[in-house]
Order: sequence, then structure tokens, then C-alpha cells
Amino acid sequence: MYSYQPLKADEVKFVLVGLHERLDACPRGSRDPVFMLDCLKERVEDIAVLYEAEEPAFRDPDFGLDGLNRLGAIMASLALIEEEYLPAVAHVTDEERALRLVFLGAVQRLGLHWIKDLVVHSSGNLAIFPKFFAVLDIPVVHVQANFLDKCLCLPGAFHEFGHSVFLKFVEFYNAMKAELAAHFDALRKAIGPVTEEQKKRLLEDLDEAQAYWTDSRLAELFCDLFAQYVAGCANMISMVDLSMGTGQPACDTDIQGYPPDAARVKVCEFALTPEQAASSEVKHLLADWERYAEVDRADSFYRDVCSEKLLRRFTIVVLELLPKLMPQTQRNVSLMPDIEAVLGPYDSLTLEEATQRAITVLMKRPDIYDSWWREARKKLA
Amino acid sequence: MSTLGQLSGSIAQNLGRVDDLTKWLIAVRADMLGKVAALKLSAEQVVEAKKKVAEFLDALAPVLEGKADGDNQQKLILKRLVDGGRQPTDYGSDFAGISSAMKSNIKLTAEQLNKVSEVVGYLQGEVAGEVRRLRSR
Repeated sequence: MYSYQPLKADEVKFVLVGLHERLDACPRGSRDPVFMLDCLKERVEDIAVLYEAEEPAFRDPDFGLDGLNRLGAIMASLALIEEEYLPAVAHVTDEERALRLVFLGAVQRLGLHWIKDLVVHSSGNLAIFPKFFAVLDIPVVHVQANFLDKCLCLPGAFHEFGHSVFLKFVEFYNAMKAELAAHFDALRKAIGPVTEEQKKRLLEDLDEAQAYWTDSRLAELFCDLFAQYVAGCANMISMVDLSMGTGQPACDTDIQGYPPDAARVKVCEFALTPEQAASSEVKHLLADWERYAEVDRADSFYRDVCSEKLLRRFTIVVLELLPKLMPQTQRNVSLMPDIEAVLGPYDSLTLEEATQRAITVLMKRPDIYDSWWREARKKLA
Repeated sequence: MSTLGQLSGSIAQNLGRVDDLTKWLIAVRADMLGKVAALKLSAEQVVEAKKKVAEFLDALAPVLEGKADGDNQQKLILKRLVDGGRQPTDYGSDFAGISSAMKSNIKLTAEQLNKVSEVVGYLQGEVAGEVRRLRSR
């Protein structure tokens, strides 16, 4: 007689052994994520020990659904390693290896000291998988193919690091939630003398607008502000690219998990220092974007959920909290670097410097950008 | 950019909870069946498992009885029960009773424990779905 549960238990055992072997076969050179590989192997070994102890339950029909649920939980844990981590650590390209070291340097300088190792995976989208079970110390950073060729996207790496910061410090989420609640409470209190029916309708609209700000949307907005904080003008230009480069309507409120691009650009604009905002590079590109975005013509729902007042509140609270919670993270308050200085000699470049310099050269000396960047990227540290 | 960052946080939270709950339920079931020795579980581990499952049920019962809002996982259980044509209030009152029994070390019936396993199964299915979404993002 055959039954499903022991069959599944045998498969799980096979998957455990296979995954362990695959992790063992991963390269372990000096530029490879050895710490991460050790963490993954340790996790698989822990699961194997538990599996062995619980195996009698998986083969005993009296345990019924509990055995199946447990096998399902084990498979989900293994799938997380197989689906997210293994593709990133098994076949690492030279660019991924180089980027890993560049990103590791950046996260340390930016104060994300909890990150002990990371791996870069050119999977097509800029993204991060920051949390492995309960820990934040071994993220997978996903980038577009040939990421370093796309200098306008470089500040996006800081946005991705922001996800790790947002998960590390719940204070950011709490503060943004409090600002959100305070903003809409004030609007509710400000409702003037209207009929009961009108008041009911207005209150429903406000509830809907407040509920629009899901945890995911708050997280994305925080990450934009984090990138703005550390990358200044270069991030502002990158945000304009994010909005205009995709052809997506700037005030689209229907993007799953994201605020409208216009709100994202706006919070970064609000986070500029007066000097940065007045700089010609930023001023001209933002003017281009204003013409493109047509925020004045946005529908009433956009105006309700993304009012400038609310976006400014988000910006202020994040900018106030960042130096308190991450005192080692330097805010970028500088202007775009001078082209003569950029073209001068240097021994090495950090990701933060490269981001500023590459965009400067692309803007001011596109004729030499190709040759300049080919040399500069060799000096990324 | 993608919502992977948020998905990662959600998987970490949900998978951790499901991992714990499924482990504790195995221990509680083994105790009910008199098979603790076969799984090499200590008496302390069984006591701890009962305590943790009781805490889970204490937090869940008021949500199912409409007396509290609940977190995302508790709301999911409520939704799944409603979608499945179950009476959440019945589950809520049963869970309050099961929790009391666990705390008083009163022997549970298979039927009682099956109800707990059923709702933990909803959470397990949800987290498996989240992990599957990693493939299709």
C-alpha cells in the first residue's frame, strides 16, 4: 500500500542531500561569498538534524496533517535557499564578484554594519533579498545585466540597501505610520459644515487614501529617501530617470506595492538641500520632469494620497531620524562634482564617488564618457 | 527595483512562525499519541511546545470571535475559514478551550488537535505560496 506522506518524506530527504552537495560544490575563492556559503550550509545541516529527529512522525499516519505541515515548512525553507541563494552563489561571473566587493565596501561605509556578506546576482532587476530567516546579514543584491554600464541606475543600489535599513530599524516604519495617521486625522478634523451624507463620503475618501499607504509603499518611499540621503544630486537625477525612462504615467496610483513615481521623485526633491536644489543640473532635469509628470493634472485620488503636505511630512521625519539611528551614515549635501576635478588623477573610487562622477561625465563630457568609465570602473573599490 | 525586499521580510516573519508552530504541533501530537520517546523529545520540550501553541491560540481566538483585529496571519486564518464555509466563532471558542486544556495538561482529543493543525496548515500554505512567488517575480 502506498501513501503520500512517506513518499514526500523521502523526496525531502533527497532534496536535503542534493542541496548540501550543491552548496559544497560552490566556488570558495578569495572573492567568493564564503561566509554566506557557510551560513547556508549551516542552515541546511540544522534542517537535516531536525528532519532526522522528526522522521518517525513523517512516516506515522497517526501524525496526519501535522506531518504534512511540517514537511511543507521544511520544503519552504529549502526552497528559499534553492530559489533565492543557490542561483546567486553557484555560478558567479567576474562582474558579480567585482560588484560584491564594491557593494560590501559601500554598505560598511554607509553604516549597515550588520551585513556580514552579500552576493550579487545579475538576474535582470535591481532588487534586494535582505532577510534570510531572522537575520539581515547575508542579503542577495539583484542587478540588471551589465549593471555598471547603466550609470543613471547606480544610485538604485542605495535604494536597495535602504530595504535592509528599513527592516533593521522599525522606528522608521513607526514614525512614517504616525505621520500618516496624524496627517489624515488633521484632515478629518478639518471637515467643515457639511451634510451628514457629505461628511460620511468625505470620511470614506480619507480612509481610502490613508489605507493606500500600505507597508510596502511606505518601505519604497523610505528607500528612495535613504538613497537621496546618501547619494544627493546623483540620486535625484536617477529618480528622474526612473520616472521618465520607463514611460509610466508619473501619477499612476495603481502600481502594486509602489507609490506613484511622482511621489517618489517629489520626496527626493524635498530632501535636497537648498544649494542642491538650486544647482543647474538638478534644476534643469527637474524642470524636464515637471513637464513630463504633469502633476497639476493628476486626478483627485493622487492629490488625496500624495498631497505635498503628506510627502513633506514623510521626508522630514525620515531625514530627522536617519542621523539619530544611523549616525555613521554620511548625508550627501554636496553639489555634483566639478568636471575638471572628476577628470583629474585618482587611485581608487568608491561606489558613492563613482555614482557622482559617472553621472557628471555623462552629463558634461559625453564625448569621453566611454573611455573615462572604462578606466574608472577598474578603480572601483 | 522590485518588491523583493518586502517579500523577503514577509517570508522571514511567516516562515519563522510556521517553522516553530509545525515543530511544536509535532511535539504536542506525539504527547497525545504517547509517542514522545519515538521522537526523542524531552518532557521539557513537550511542556514548552504546549505553552507556545496555547499562546498562539490565545491570540487567535479573540480574532476569530470578532473581538480583536488581529495581525496579517490571524486575518488570513479568519479569511480561509470563512472562504471554506467554516464558522470562525466556533473555531474561536474551541481554541479557547484547547488552550485551557493545554495549560492544565488535560489530554487533548485528536479532533481538537486536528482543528489547530488545520489553521496552521493555512499559514504553511501561505508561506509556501510566498516562496513560490520568488520564482515568478
